[in-house]
Amino acid sequence: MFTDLTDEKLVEMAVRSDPEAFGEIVRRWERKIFALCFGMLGREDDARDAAQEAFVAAYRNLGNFRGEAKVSSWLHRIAVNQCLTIKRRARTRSEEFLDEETHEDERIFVAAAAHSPSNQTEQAERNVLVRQAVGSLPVDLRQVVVMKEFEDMTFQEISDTLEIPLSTVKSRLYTALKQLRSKLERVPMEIG
Amino acid sequence: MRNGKDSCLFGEELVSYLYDELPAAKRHSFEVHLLDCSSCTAEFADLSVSRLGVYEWHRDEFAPLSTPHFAIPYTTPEPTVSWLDAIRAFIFTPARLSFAGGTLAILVAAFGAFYLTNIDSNGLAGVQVPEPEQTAPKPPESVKTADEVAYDEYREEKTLVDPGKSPITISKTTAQKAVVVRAKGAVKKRTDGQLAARENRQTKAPRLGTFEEVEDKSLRLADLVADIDSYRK
Repeated sequence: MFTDLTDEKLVEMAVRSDPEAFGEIVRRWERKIFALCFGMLGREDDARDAAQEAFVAAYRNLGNFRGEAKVSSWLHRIAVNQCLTIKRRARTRSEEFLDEETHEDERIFVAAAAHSPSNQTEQAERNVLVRQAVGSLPVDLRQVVVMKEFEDMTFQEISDTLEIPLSTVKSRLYTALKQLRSKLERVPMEIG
Repeated sequence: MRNGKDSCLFGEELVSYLYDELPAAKRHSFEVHLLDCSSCTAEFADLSVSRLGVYEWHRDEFAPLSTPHFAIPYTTPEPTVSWLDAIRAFIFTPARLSFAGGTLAILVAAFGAFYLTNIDSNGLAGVQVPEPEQTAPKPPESVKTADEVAYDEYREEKTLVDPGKSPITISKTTAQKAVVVRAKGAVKKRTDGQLAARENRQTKAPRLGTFEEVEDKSLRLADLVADIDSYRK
């Protein structure tokens, strides 16, 4: 019944007569919003909470959606705000979260793509380091990286969602990848 | 936009090629350039490493996760109700209807009882006139001389002053003397009760339709005259 309708039409129906039309919007975007929250926060439980709060907040503010922006843009904006709120909350509780403070003195060894280790432990450790590095990026750069890698969105889709020019999207992604590279640079191995 | 190194390629093109979003026409020329430009190749390699790290993190930690169920607190919108419908809904409920009916019945019964208790014997619900005090009926009015009026007042006075005693039979001579004494200026103050009693007899109208026969025990002029005549005889 709702599958053929656009996001904007579903929002309109949810506001006027059928609140469950919003359920179709949730079904369409739940995976991507969950992925966005995971990439922004780095933890499954926090990502689940952030995504849940984002959808609830979106439902409660359906009346405030004026249709000037896309529903995807609106949802992403709400989700990123929820991620920042959760991160701020965790910081006040002094939880060890995504390490914003990069270990400046530590240089992390990352194997080149051609020599990927088969050891799962090393891979897991590397993933932890990458997670920390992504978490240390500025929000606008981090969001573009996550949307590209976790949501598998095209540059044009990211541009439409974030309502920024296409060249800005590419520029931010380039800068983010360069900063990640500097955090994950190769170090000489110790000779023991 | 130039990258920080001595690369002849813009960062946008590098990123587009990295994510396979470079248009087909430009891709070939870019690949040819990469074969000849080491700085661009190094730049491209650095970006590839970063992208690989993020890709592997996504593949290993996020991809295996199932999408959680998100609960939405749906609320059914209330239908728009006009003010008239709201009033109808408020008034015409069974409880309120029965309460209103019972109240109305009680009021009707109370009013009927009030009406019936206040109706008079002639069927007229007349205005209630406060009943006058039970006093002796006023003797039939007759034309009296001034002396006779003064005597009545004097006699009345004596009766009121001595309430506990039986009415005094006063001879006419004595009454005339009393009148003379009074005429000379002996002012006797009447009590408030005396004044009020006089006013009551003078102002209160008899109640219509009622006549009560009360035994008249007061002294009448006719009786007094009869007594005087008897004395003379």
